[in-house]
Amino acid sequence: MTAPNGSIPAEEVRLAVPASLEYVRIVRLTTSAMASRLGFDVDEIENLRVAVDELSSTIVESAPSGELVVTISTTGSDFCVEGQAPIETGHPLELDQLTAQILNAVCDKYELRVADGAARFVCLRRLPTN
Amino acid sequence: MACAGSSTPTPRRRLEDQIGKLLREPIDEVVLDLSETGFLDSSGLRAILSAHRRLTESDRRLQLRAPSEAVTRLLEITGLTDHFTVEK
Repeated sequence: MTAPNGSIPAEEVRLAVPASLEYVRIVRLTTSAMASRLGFDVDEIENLRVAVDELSSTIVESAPSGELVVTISTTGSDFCVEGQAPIETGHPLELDQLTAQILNAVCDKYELRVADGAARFVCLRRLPTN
Repeated sequence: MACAGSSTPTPRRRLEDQIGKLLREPIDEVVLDLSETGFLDSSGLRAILSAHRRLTESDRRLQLRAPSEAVTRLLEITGLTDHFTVEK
């Protein structure tokens, strides 16, 4: 979908799944479907699938109750996936070396933090220019 | 040994259990067939690394067979391609 001026109009998909590793697959599938719709190529979609899986799994493993709420959107020139799940106060988010290495390779930018009683992630990837 | 599905906890546990069983057998090499593994993440990769370590510690080998493009890519990203013997 392309706006008259050639840019991709802002759009947003939200989903909430149980904060369990079994449901991360749904987040992965939704992300890749949205990325495909926006014109990312196969390699880029695979990168996004891996990134969202790693970030969602990290959060779910640290906050294994409640819901993982994920918002997939376009913001300006970026494809943005944000996720959050409730976490106990003082519970650290652990990102091991292997996961960090993968995320550095597949994301343009990512962020993982605990704020306001929730573990949160943001993953950004530049939208395809066509 | 085939490793199908994605790297959710169940296949990972199955892999760990299978490696545990194979370690009790008089074998020299384990071939892990990844042709049906459509997606692998860091936790799945850690399970394979753990299997590799357990087998190597008992003087056995682990070979990866027919990894999909996605799995091959993850091995490349993490610099682990040369860590394993890979059969295309």
